[in-house]
Amino acid sequence: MSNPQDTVAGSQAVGGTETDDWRTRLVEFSKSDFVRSFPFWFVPFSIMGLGVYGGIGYNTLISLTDYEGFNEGPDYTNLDLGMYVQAVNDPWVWTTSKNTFVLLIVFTTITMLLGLFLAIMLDRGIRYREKIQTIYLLPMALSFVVTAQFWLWMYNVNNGLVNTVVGLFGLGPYNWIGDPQLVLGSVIFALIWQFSGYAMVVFLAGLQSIPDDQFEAAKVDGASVFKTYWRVIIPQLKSSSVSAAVVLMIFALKAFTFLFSMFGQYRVPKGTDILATLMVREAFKLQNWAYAAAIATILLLMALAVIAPYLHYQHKQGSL
Amino acid sequence: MVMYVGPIMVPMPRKGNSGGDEGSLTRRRLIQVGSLGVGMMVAGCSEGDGGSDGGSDGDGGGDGDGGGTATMTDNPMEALHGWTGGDGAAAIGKLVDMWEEQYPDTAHDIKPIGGDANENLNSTVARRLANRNPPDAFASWPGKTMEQYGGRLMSITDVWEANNYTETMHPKSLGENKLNGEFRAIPLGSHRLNNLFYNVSILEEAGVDPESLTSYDNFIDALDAVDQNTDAIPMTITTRGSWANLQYFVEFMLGTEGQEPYEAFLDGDGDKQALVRALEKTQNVIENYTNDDKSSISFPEANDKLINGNAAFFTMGNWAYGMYRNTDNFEYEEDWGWVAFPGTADMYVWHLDSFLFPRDGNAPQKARTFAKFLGTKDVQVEFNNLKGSIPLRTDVDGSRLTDFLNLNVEDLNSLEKFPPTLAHGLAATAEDLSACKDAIASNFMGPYDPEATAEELMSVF
Amino acid sequence: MAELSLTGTTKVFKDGGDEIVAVDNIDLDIEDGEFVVLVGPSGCGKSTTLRMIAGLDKPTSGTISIGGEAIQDRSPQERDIAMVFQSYALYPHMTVRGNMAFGLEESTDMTDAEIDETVTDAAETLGIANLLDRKPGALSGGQQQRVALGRAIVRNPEVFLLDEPLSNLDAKLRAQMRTELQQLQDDLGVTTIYVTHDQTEAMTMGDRIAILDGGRLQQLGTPMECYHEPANVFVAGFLGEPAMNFFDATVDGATLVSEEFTYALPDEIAAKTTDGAEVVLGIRPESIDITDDPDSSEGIPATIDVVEPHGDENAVHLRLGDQSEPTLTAMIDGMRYLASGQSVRVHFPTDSVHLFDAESGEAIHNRQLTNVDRVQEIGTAQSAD
Repeated sequence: MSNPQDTVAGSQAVGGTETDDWRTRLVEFSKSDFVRSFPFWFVPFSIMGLGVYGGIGYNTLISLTDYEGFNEGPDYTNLDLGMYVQAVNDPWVWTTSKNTFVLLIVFTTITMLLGLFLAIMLDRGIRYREKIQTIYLLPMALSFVVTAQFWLWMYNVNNGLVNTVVGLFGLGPYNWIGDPQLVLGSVIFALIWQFSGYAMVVFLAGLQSIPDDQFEAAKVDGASVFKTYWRVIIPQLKSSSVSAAVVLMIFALKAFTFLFSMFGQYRVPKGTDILATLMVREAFKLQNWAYAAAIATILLLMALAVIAPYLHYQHKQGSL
Repeated sequence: MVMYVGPIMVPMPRKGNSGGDEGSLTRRRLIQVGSLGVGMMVAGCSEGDGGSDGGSDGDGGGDGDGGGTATMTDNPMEALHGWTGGDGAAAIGKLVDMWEEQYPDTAHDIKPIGGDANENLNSTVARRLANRNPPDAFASWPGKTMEQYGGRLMSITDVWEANNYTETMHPKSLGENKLNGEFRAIPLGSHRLNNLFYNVSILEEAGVDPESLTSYDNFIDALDAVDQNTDAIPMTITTRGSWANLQYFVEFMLGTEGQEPYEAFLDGDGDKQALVRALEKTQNVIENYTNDDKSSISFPEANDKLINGNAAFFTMGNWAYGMYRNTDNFEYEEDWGWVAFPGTADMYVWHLDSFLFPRDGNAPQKARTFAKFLGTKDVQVEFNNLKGSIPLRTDVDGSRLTDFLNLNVEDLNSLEKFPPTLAHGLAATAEDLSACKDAIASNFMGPYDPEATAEELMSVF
Repeated sequence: MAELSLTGTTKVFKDGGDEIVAVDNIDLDIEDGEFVVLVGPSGCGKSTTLRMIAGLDKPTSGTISIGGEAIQDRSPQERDIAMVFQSYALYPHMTVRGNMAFGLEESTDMTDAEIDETVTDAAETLGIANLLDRKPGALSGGQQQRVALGRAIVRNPEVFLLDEPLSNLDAKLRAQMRTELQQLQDDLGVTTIYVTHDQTEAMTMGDRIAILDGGRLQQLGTPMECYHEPANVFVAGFLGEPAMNFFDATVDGATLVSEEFTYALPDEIAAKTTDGAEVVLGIRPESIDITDDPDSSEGIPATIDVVEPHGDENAVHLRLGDQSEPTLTAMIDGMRYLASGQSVRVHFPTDSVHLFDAESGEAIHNRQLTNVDRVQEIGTAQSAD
């Protein structure tokens, strides 16, 4: 290879067929879908790859250093798991992990169930369906800044609507925000309110793509309405529920924005403090960059741990 | 700062049997890999700021720190602040007008970074300092809070000296604006923190003489009187953020235990029992004399209760005064009144708003001009009259200030005890302040546990 | 037993303020074990009729009874019917076994073992036992069709309802399944209603066929009756491919006068008409005689427009007189050669003509089915199509 002339001479000596072969293959390759589609997917793919996976990789790298403060950059020569050890021994990390986990699971589950229920109700032909659909979707269109303040008023212990309503049943008043036992539930409820409409729309789209004859076949087969949904219809909504679950989890992590809007600061009541708020505090209030990066990695792993079994199951079932 | 680029997944129509086995295998494999990506993106985005901003470790600005040649660059002078609304916005607006009038040829980019309690401002500054792309100046608290920026700030001692600010600024403010022996900040105004505002008519109805509010016991008597004789809430507070509870504790600590135990505590030499006693008193007031919805309202909403005649007392830094001034027919001494927080009449709980000056900015000479400008009498008077804070220049004509501010100015210039505020960063580094807030958030935001709070607070310093 | 009767069954759909009569006062009596085909063009009400029998639509008025019991108010699961859908409506997330077992699980008290046995038996009958653990998505169209049938068969219903079950299959498979279905129905002996828009299926499969149009029952009879003795113009035109030729004409004594020709009626037919009446003359393509002898003066002069070879037969499109468009189609023997543009004479044998009232469309005269052998012959020729 060091002498290009050798190569040329060599190939000539062997004869034309191999060169032709090679050329044909090159031409074929250049005409293949892979090459021809290259400009279309490569740019977004590389931007996403760099932005997402590069970001994740870099974050993980930072978390292995001792990077903090403004004066020194991260020192990559001495990587260790010190930050993770510190995190495991930090009670605040445990508290926020627990809250994050509860938020992820409870919010996603209830929102999906509620969304499914609403979608089935709508699909069964309630009148004014379009209007109702809009009403349910509306909260999602609102900014967290608006809904957080809205729910602060709703949860006001003296004159909030929530206490007025539970008061009708002789309960309360409850200190929804002030009581550390209740505040996480209150936040989750507000988020469910905001996103059940989204879950509903996803499920409704799924339901409407199921042909009527599936319902009719089940009916002729003698299945009750409940059994029809349970055994025939809902199992066919798997791809909808995967979509809904993934997006809702993203929204669950967006609870950061909601909390920030609600309490006006990164430090939120302990009962509802999550890994994301803790991470931002460590990074931007205290400049503990490496520690914040370690918390971010923990958050990432947690999100993966929650969703991975579900996705794996769906993949096995052939829904993905 | 929180951007989530969540791909909105739309359910794919079932494809049935179309597409060969092989094709669908590839697609499924792609999804397998891609879904991992989505999951990672979830966390990836939320962490992006946390991790990747620390990146550039280059030394940044070739402009130097301006200490050498005094040539002006063409770059506009960029100053960040957090005054996006209300009095603060009006005050900074006035300041910008004055700058443009006095330095019409000096380009500037004085801009607000929105958000409550300077959260966004501080994180923007932190990010830019870490990225070696600092603004030329930014509003912050000096004192111990400034320590976190150590090494990234330039010296403006020459500005102080050249303009004789070392003589004309309040002597207490000099040390707070120094770091490592050099001036690196210039104070713009001071808010006094140990205020007890009251609604005049409610106190009259309750039969409480504000002049009597000189001690914790007197204060409790007054709260009881309001409770028994009126329909009003004795004291309106907010506990939405842990800073407020920390602030209340400090007020009671100073009012009941005094300045020395407080400062001993800050020096790591505190008496835990003193803290417990102060925390118990704080708890007593919060639990027995305040509004129920304290945890869901902000301090302006809490203050509204006083203005509306629904509450008798309110304690806050004197920025709260701006709300009274902006309310029609709500006049000082007729409708609202002021006394020092009970037990702290001889103290001025000390808070400062300053502009800090990073090194390696893009327009270091203009920044120096800005520093000089901030210290001028006119700016100090005009800005603070609108902001409701107190100028640090000791040589301003009192008649140029509003009555209430003048009263505070007199105290500022005559009192001798200046305990620094903890909740507003003069007395504690960012790290320590965060730990204090953790202690409060864990143990003192309901349910209240003075013993555990004291324990954890003691361990901070 | 499972006779099925529809009496005055009517279905009206409301569309906004409009009322659309989908099925109009249908009376239909189907005997136990009979295979009846409901046939008609799109929108004729055949599917709605089937859905009313299934219980998926509720009749606006009238009764439906199975084995003498009125069932129109019962839910589908209480009717003891099974239905095969046009799209098969297999449950995509269940295996073939699951699909076939579902109805038994939901509507009977059978144990799992019994269900499994029933399903396996039915699958063996249909030749799909090896597919039991696959999902519908992994099956071919024909296989899916069998699964859909199997799902209905395992239920062992009183009445079997099939809604265009073969329409999604290719032609060859369709012909094969037609035979299999008939055999299956024979073996099972279940009363079966079969809906189709395809007149070939109707002719070949049904014991009797019911022809619907505009929501009304036009004729109910054996395929031969309907073909040779159509009750009206619609039935005459609907059955048969190529379709019967029609000519508007006026009765003038014993002669029919149309735009293109006059046609002398034999006395027996003329006796059924009144002088001056507007009628429609109908003649099936295969009944037309064509003479290419230029010297002949018999029949109506015509020009051959197009000849379509069908193999055993040729379809000939003719222009009568000096017409510019072909108005007559005739079937001739496949071996006979006629050229496009050739001048010929056509003759309508008097024993093969049909006569309909122009206004009501009702048959005035149909060809007579006297010769059984001939009927068989024609029937066979049709089904070979």
